[in-house]
Amino acid sequence: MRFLVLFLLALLIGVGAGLGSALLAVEKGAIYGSVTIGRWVTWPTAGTRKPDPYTRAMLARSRHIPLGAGEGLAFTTRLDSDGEPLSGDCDYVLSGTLPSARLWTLTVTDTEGRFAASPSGRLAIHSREILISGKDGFSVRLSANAAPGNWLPVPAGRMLVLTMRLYDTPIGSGLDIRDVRMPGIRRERCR
Amino acid sequence: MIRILIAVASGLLIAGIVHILVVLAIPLVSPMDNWTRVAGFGEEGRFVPIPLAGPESGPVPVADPTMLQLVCRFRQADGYVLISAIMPNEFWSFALYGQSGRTLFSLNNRTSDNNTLSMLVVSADQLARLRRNPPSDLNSYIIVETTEARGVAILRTFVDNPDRLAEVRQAISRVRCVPGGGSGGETEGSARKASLGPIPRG
Repeated sequence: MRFLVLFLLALLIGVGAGLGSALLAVEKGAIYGSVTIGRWVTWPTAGTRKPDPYTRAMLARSRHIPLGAGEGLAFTTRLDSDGEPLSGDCDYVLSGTLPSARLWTLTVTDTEGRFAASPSGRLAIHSREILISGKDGFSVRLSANAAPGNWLPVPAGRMLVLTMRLYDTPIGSGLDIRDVRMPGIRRERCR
Repeated sequence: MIRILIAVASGLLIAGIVHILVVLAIPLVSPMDNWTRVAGFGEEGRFVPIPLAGPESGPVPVADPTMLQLVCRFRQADGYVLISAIMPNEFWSFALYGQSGRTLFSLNNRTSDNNTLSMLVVSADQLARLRRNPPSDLNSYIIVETTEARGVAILRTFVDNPDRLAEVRQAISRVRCVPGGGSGGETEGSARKASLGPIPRG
C-alpha cells in the first residue's frame, strides 16, 4: 500500500513536471532554442537546415513558416519594457537604436494574428519610410488613434503581438546575437 | 522519509524523460507542416501568389504585409525541380523549405547573382543521374540537395508602398517552378540533354 502511494507520487511528479516543462519550453521558449533581447524573443535556428528540437516543436505548433536564415530574422514581443502585456487599449512609443539590417519592417497584430482594420489602411511601418529624429534614434507611436509622424495603428480592445522582421541582417554571420540592441516599448496612456 | 525522497527523485527522473519525449513528439503528431500551411493557395507545381496579409486575409503563413509572396509546393518524387526568376532591383528574398520544419536554402537579393534566381532541387538519386549525363548549363544553377519527399519554395519581394503593388508584380518576370525534371523517359543511353533551358538573365 505504502509502495503504491510512493509509486503514484513519483508518476505524478514525472508526468506533471515533464509535460508542464515541455509545454513551457515550447510555448515561451523558456529553456532552450530562443534568444531574448529586452522583451523581444527570436528563435535563431528556426530558418536553418538544423533547427534544434525545441525550435522544431515551436515551429510545428506555429501557424507560421519562418524566414530563412539568409533572408532575415523575426523578433516578436507581447510585453512592453516594464513586462506588462501589450494592450490595444493603450498607446505605446517604441524607440531606441535602429536594428542592424538592410531593411526592417514592424507589424502589430492581435494574439490570433489578426491585423487592425484602420481607415488609413496602414498595416506595417518599415525602415525606408521611417522619419528619423535626433542623432541615431527613432520612435514609432503605436495607437488605435491616428497620430502624426511614425505611427502604426493597433487593433483596439485586443491583446497585441509586435513583430519586427530584420531582413538581410548580419546577426548570426559576423554580428553576435548577444550584441544586438532592440528598441524599447514605453507605455503612455490607456483608455 | 528516505522513501519519499527516493520517490521524488524517481519522479524527477521520469519528468526528464517525459519532457524529452514530449518535445520530440510534438513535430510528429502536429497536423500542420510547411506543405499544409500553404496548400490552400492554389495548384501545386507552380508559383502561386499568397494573399497579402491584412485585416481580411485570415491567417497567412508569413504575415508581413510589406512582402509580395509567391509560393510553389512540389513533390520531389516527380523528378528534380527547376526554380528560376528574374527579379526587380528591390529587396527580395527566397527560401526553400522541406515539408518538416527545415529550411534547406535561403538567400536575398544581395547574395543573389545579378537579381536572378536559378536553382535545381534534387534528391541524391536525381543528382547522380544528372551528373552521369550533365546538361551543359548545370553549373550555372544553384543545386540544393534534399532528402524530403515534398518541398515548399517561397519568393518574397518588398513593396515599399501598397500603391506600387501592381508595378512590383509586373517587374517580376520569368518566374518558373517546374517539378518533374529528368522524368521524361530518359534512359542511360539516350542522347545527351543539351541544356536545362535558358537561364534567365537580368
